[in-house]
Amino acid sequence: MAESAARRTGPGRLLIAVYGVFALAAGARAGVQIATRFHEAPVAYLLSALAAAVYVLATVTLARSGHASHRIAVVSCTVELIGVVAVGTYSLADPAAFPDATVWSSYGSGYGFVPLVLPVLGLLWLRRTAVR
Amino acid sequence: MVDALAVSLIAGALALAGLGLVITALNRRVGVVLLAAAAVGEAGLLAQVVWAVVKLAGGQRPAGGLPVFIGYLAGSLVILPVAAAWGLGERSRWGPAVVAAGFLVIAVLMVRMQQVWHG
Repeated sequence: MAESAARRTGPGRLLIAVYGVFALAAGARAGVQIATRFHEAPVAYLLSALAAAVYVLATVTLARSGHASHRIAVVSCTVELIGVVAVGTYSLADPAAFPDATVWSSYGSGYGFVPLVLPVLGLLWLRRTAVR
Repeated sequence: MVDALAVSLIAGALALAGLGLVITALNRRVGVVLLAAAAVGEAGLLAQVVWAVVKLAGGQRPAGGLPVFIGYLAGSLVILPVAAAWGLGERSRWGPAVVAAGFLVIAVLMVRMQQVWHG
C-alpha cells in the first residue's frame, strides 16, 4: 500500500500537524463557548463544535492508512471548505449572529486565514497521494 | 503575568521556529539541535506555568476569564513535546518543518495568553 504510507509522510506530516493544532484549538474554543455562554448564540456555537468535529475527523483520517480513511478525509476537507466559505460569508453578512468569533468567522481571519487555506491544501494532498 | 518572561518566550519561540525552518531548508532531519531547542522551549513554558500558578494562588485573575486562561496554560505544555515526537518520526526535511510549526503555535499562544491575562 504505497498510498497509505505516503499520506502521513513528507509534506503530509506538516499538514497533519497543522490539522491537529486546529482540532485542538477549535475543540477547546467550542467547549468553552458551549459550557459558559451557549444561550447567547446557540447556532454560532454549534457551528463552532461542528468545525471542531470536522478538524478532528480530518486529522485522524489523514494520519490513518487505507481507502476508507482517504474517502472520509476527502469528505471532511470538502465539508470544511464549504463550512469556512459559508460561515465566513454569513458572519460578515450578519455579524450579530456571531457575537464572538468562531474559527470560521470572516473566513478564518482571526487565525491568519489558515482555516481557508488548509482544506485546499488537504484536498490537493489527498489527490496527490490517491492510488490511481 | 510577567511581561518580560512572556516577551522572551515569544521572541525565543520565533527564533527557534526560524532555526527549524533553516534546518528544513538545509534538508536535514530532526536532530539533537532541534530536540534541545524544544527542551529549552518547554522549560521556559514550565517556568511560565509556575509563575502563573503563583499569581493565581496570590489572588490575581486573568481579565479574559480563568477557564480560558487555564486552557491556554495546559495547551502550551502539550504542543512542543507532541511536535517534537511527530517531527522525529519523519525521516525527511518535513520533520524540522513540523517542529518549526510547533514553535510558531507557541508564539501565537503566548500572544493570546497575554491578551487573555490583560483583557
